[in-house]
Amino acid sequence: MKVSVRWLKEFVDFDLSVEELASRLTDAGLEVETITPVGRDLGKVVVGEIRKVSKHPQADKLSVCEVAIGSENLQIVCGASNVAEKAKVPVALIGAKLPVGIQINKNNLRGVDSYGMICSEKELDLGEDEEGIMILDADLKVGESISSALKLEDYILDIDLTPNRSDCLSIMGVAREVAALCGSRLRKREVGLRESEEMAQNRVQVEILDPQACPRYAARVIEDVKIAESPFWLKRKLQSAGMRPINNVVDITNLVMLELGHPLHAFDYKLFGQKNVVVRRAQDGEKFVTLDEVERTLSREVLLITDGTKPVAIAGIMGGLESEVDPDTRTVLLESAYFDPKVIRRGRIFLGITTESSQRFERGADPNGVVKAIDRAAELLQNLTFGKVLKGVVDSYPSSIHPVQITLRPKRVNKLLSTDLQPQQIRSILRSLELSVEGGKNHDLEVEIPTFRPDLTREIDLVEEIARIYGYDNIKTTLRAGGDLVTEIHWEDEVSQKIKEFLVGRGFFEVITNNLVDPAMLTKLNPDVPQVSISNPLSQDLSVLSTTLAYNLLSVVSRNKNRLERNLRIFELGKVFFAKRNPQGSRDRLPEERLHLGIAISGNREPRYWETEERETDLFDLKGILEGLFDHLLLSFELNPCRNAFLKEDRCFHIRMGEEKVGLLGEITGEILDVFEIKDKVFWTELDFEKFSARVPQRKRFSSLSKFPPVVRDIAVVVDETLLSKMVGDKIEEVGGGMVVEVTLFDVYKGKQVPAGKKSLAYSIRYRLKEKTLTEEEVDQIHRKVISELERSFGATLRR
Amino acid sequence: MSSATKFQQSLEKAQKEALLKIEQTGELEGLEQVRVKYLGRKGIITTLLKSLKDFPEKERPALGKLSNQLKSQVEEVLLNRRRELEELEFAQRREKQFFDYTLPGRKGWEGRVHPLTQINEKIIEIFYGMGFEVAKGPDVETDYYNFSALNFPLDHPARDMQDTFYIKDDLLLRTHTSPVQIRVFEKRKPPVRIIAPGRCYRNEAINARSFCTFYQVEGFYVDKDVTFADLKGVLSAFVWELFGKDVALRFRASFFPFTEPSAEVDISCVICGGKGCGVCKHRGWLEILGAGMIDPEVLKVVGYDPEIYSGYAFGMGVDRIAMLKYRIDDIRLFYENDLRFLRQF
Repeated sequence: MKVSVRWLKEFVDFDLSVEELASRLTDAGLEVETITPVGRDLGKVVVGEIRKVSKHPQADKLSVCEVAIGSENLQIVCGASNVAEKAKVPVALIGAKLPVGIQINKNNLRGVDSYGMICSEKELDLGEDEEGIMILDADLKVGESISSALKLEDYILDIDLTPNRSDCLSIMGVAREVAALCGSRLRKREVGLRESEEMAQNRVQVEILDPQACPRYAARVIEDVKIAESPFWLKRKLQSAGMRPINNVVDITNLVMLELGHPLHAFDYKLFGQKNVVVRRAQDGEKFVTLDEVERTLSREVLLITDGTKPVAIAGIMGGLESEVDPDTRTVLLESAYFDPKVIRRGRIFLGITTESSQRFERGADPNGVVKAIDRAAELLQNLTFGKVLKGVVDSYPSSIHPVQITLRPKRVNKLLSTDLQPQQIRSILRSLELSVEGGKNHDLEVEIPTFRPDLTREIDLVEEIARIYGYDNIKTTLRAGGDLVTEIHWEDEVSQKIKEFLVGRGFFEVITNNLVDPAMLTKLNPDVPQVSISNPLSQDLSVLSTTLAYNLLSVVSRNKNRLERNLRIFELGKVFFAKRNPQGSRDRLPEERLHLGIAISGNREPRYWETEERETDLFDLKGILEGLFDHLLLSFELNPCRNAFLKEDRCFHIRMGEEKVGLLGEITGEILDVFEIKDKVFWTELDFEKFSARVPQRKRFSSLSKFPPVVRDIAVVVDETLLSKMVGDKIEEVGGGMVVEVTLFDVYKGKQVPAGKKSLAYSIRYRLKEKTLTEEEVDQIHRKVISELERSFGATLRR
Repeated sequence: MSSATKFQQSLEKAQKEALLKIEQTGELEGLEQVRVKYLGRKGIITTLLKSLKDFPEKERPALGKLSNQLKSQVEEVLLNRRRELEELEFAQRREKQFFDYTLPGRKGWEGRVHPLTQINEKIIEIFYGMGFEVAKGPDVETDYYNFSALNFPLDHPARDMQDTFYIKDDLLLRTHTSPVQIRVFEKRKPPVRIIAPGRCYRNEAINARSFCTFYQVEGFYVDKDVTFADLKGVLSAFVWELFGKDVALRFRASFFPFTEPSAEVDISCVICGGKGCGVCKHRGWLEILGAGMIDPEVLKVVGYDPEIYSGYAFGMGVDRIAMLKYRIDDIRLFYENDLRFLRQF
């Protein structure tokens, strides 16, 4: 909402700088986004009077004018056809710089000197008219600067209104706020109408078929109007609000809307079929051409104004092309109505158009401001278009909308705001907003809310009004201590913290990605997984919620590799989403959301170092990270081969904890890497956070340290190449029972030293008992048992 | 010649010799020999000093004083020379044992927590300290939790304040973390004091200032006698802890359907200190929080009696705060995860 400060001052006096005004309004909830000074760039342009016009000796189309500017008379050559003696005109003096970029110098036009320029509206950026020079009102003072003569100097406040404040979509409404904030009085204008003898009701009837959608409809008829351009001041006001002048009738309806906040509509009476206003719902599929020349297909959602036979306007939103006021209009049918905000909202959403009018009706106009607005417009039509206003308002208002009554407890106000306001203070704040206040029972106040404030319906709404006007900054600030609540830190938050700390310590970057992704790409990664799709996406490639973190991890790898970051170690702790297959069947209709931990690595194993060769990372780097993480969380896992759409067949594993599968680990296939345009190998793992975090032991228990030294024995066994090394390690632990505290595989060998098809596995075994020192004999005994058990189970032979 | 004069002469001679030898000696070993020769237990100077006791008592003080002076001069010169020679020999050794300690160390890969997480955790930590507990909710919400229960009536223009991604029927992506309020209220009785961090979504064109997804932290407190002054207090404490004690706050009236009275909270611009700059659009203030007293309608919906209980709620954009704190000018950088960006935090 753009508000001219000059216009505002017509309704309220205030003694504040524009910055102070803006800051008060902002504090009170009318956020002033910008303050724009206007009309300040017309220095050296003054009011002049043409004293004498003579023909240019050399050029037919030019005139030589003698122009009085107060101090002297100037000779100015002018090309406009509408130069006339005695006309008051804007004169740009030598040295002036016009807003459109023209610099005025002394000039010689075909042999005649010219000392300035007589300007058109367009040249002064005051309007669109460039046909001729601008003719000013005859009563302006010669020599006065044009800015002050035309009252051009102004500030435009751009106010970002919250949707509850429909009342402030007008100069009057903002003036009311200013009056309340500054303690001054609102100035109201008396309407001076001279109605003719003829009754308007003889010329038009009003019938409302849906009084819920249209509780009130009022009409006036104005005859003998002369359609013309609006006077300068009127156009200027519309422009200050960002509206374009059209003709005097349309401009007047817009002016009243801006001034009082009530949208009006003017019809050409002649084109108004049966002279019978019928307000009804549109039929599904009904067609109508609006004044923006678009044919629209309507529905029951849309309310129509008809002339008894055909539609003439979409109620509260936009008029029709056919009944529009045009230069031939002589009689105007003026509409001032009140429509149900919901109906207007639904209608404009259905039609997909928002207008100045729909905005005001949708947020709530004043049903009892209907007549005031139509009278004000009629007055202006009478004064500016020479129109004859027919007697009376044809007003259909089947059931009156009454002001709301609210009981306000001053105690309640003070309790919620922590203030100490006296009833008298509260009363005067409410009255400053034009609410009427009476004393009630028990020191309560009975407040009547005028219908121009539809946002005030409850006691709490008044508490806010009081707080606003009293000033939030005047309410104290109490620093309350923690109170009697114990803050619980959730275990899963602690676990996620541990995970992040561990991975960052191991050289990983945490990433946070957009989980809205491209469904086609996602399907390549996760076929057959039901996706959650957005019905109104920003674009197709952001239209589903991701079902795997792999998608975005690969995107991040790809993006960084493109920027020559070859080595990537990244992780994300983020949600993935699965649509439910039978949403009707289950009670909870929400899709399934799971928190996942995804990790990806690619590039070199270590940072490039002067001492060592560069080595490309492999699956065991990732497995090691996961092992380290699980150790850190006091957990363990096993891998089991499996199959997956985007992992290499021989590098694809389930991560298992006991019987439960908690995630996947593997190497991304070349096909998928091609899709993401990645040239290096990428290793990836993704785990269901909730599944494994639930298993992280919350209570740790100390076990006493052995005082006795361990005995270490190394052993190398030759087994079949295809035997999983884990089987051997597990067997050693199993046989060793409580005596084996640690088994470390320190060498794997295949080659000349062992037979073909065989490999050698070398282990270091640490034996210890908690309660006593192991004797050599005891160690020999158990170690022999380990060897014989390995021989028996795997056909292993001891390598010497 | 008196014996005293003779003594003095021999002492002076010995000192002269000693000083000359010290100067001429080029290594530590030789220096030690010089020390033993003159100052050792049987050294020349030591021996001379021992003979002092043979002089008559009245001559002793003057001779003693002189002797000590000469001796300590020698000692001092000797010490200085020793230090000099030590330095010299150390430098010679150093040259032989060259070690290039300027070679880079094996530092391994560097890692970082994402800046949004850092700010998010900082915010949570501050509120933990003030007795708030963390609660979470789903990203996909129903219209009820995201709007209706929060007093956004159907067919009300307030709904246009938040451009929403819809899924189907009444399912949508939450536009704020406020639905967690309702979910928590449904399960608990006052007092409840919660912060709800999480991801939100808005169907807005993507540009440097807005992204389709972002993080928010919602906070709320319901109890008996919670007042607007408490809201001002908790947010002031929070702002001072996060941005520093010299930051000014401004509470101004605003509108949110689920709070009444509602406030927008500005802080004095952390870039220009309130003088006006490009970041604060020359206003001197930065908008960082929306807040208010929880609307009685919301309390009623969850079965809390607004005559007994009152509460406040507030919400803030983590991305926005991170942008202000780190002076990041493009929100999209958070979600691109360019390592050159992540490395900076």
